[in-house]
Amino acid sequence: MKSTKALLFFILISAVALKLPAQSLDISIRSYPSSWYNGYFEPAFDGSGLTLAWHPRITDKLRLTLSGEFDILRARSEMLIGTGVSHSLWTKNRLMLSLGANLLNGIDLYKPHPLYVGGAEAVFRLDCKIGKKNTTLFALIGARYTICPGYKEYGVYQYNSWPVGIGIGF
Amino acid sequence: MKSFHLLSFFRLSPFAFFLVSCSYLPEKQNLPGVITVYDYREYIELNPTSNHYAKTGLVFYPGGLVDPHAYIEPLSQFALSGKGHKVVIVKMPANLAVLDGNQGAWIYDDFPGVRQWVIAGHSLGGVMACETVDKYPDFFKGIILMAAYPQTSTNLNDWNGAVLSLRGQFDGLVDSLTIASYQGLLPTPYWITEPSQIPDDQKPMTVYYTVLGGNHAMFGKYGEQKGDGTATRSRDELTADITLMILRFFILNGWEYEID
Repeated sequence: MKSTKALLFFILISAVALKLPAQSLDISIRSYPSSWYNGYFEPAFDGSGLTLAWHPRITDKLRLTLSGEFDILRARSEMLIGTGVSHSLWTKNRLMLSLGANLLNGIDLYKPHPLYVGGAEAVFRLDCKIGKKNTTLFALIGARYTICPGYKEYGVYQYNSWPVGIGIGF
Repeated sequence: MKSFHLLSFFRLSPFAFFLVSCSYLPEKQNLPGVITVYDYREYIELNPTSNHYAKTGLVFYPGGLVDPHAYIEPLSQFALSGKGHKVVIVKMPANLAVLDGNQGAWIYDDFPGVRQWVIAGHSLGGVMACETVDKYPDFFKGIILMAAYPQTSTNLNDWNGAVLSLRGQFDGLVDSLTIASYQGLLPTPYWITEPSQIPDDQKPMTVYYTVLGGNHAMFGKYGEQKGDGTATRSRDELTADITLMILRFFILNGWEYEID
C-alpha cells in the first residue's frame, strides 16, 4: 500500500513538473570510474547508477536541481537525494553546456538498519536539443565524493569518482 | 582485477535498477591477532600474520545480500588452520554474485605466489562458484559449496576436480532433498556423516556432509537470516566443525603443502 501511494505521488509530481513552464525533468544512467578510495590511489570502475532529476528554472542561465538516484558502488547499494544548482556556461544553436553542483544525502541499503551516506559532486553537462519541443539528449562528466561514516568499521567507506553518464530530458 | 572496466557498466545496468534490496550488515568480527586482513576495493584478503601458508589458496563468494565482511571471522579460522592459507573474499556488485559471478577467475593476477586455487561459495555465492568453474574448469582444483548447489545450466558432472558440499542440519532455506536432487550436476556423490569418513581418493567426487546443529547463516556472522532454522550449537563449535571439514578436504586432496 505504501509503495502504491509513493508511486502515485511520484506520477503526480512528475506530471505537474512536466506541465509547468520553465522546468525540466530528466533521467540519466551513470558510470562511476574512480581514482582513489580510502586514501589509496587506484584507478578502477566502482559501479553504476540511475538518476531522476527535476530542474525548476530560476533565471535564463540558472536552474535548481532536485534529484533522486539509486547507485551500486561495489558491494554497496545506495539511494541518494541530490540538491543543487546548475549554471549555463555556453549556448549555440541546439547545444548547451552547463556546470552543476549538488549536495548528496541518503542511505546505504543495509539491515537491520540503513547507514547514512553523504557527498557532493560537480558535473559538466552537454545538452543537445532534439525535435521541436524541449526534449534533449545529454552527456555528463564530473567529479564526486561520497562517504558512509557508519561503514568505516567494516571496510571501504569513501569514494572519489569521476561520474560519466548519458540521459534524456523533457 | 584492478583494471578499469567501463564496459561493466552496461552489463550491470539492466539488473541494477531492480535491486533496491537491503544487505545483511556484519556482526562484530572477533579476530585472532595472528591474522592479517587487507580490505581492498574488489576483495578482502586474509593472511596468516606469519606469512606462511599452503600452496593452495581459497577464493570465496559471499551469499546473496550478505556483506562480505561477515565472513572474515569464520574464514580466518580456516586461514590459520593447518599450514595456513591465503583466503580471498570477493566483493560482489550489490552483494549479489549473480551480477558478476566470474570475478574469482581473475584472482590469479593479483596473487602470483599462490600455486593453485579452490573456490568456495555460500548460498547464491556457491551457485555462482559452480558457474565460474563451469566457464574456467582449469583454474580451480576444487569447489566447496556451503548450503548451495549448481543451477541447472551448470553441469560439472564430468569435471575433474573435487567437490565438498556442506549444509547445516537446521538450514531453513536449503533442504537436503533439494541438494540431493541437483547432485547429478556434480561429480560422483559420496554422502558422509563424520569428517573422518572422507575417502582418501577424492577425484572426481562430491562429498556431502551435514553439519549437525547448524543452520543456513552459520557460514557467516551476520545474525539471523529470514526463513532460516535455529542453530542448536554455538557459533564457535559450528565454525570449528566447518573448518575441520574443509581442512581435511584440503589434506586428503594433497593441497596442504607450504610454499617453498
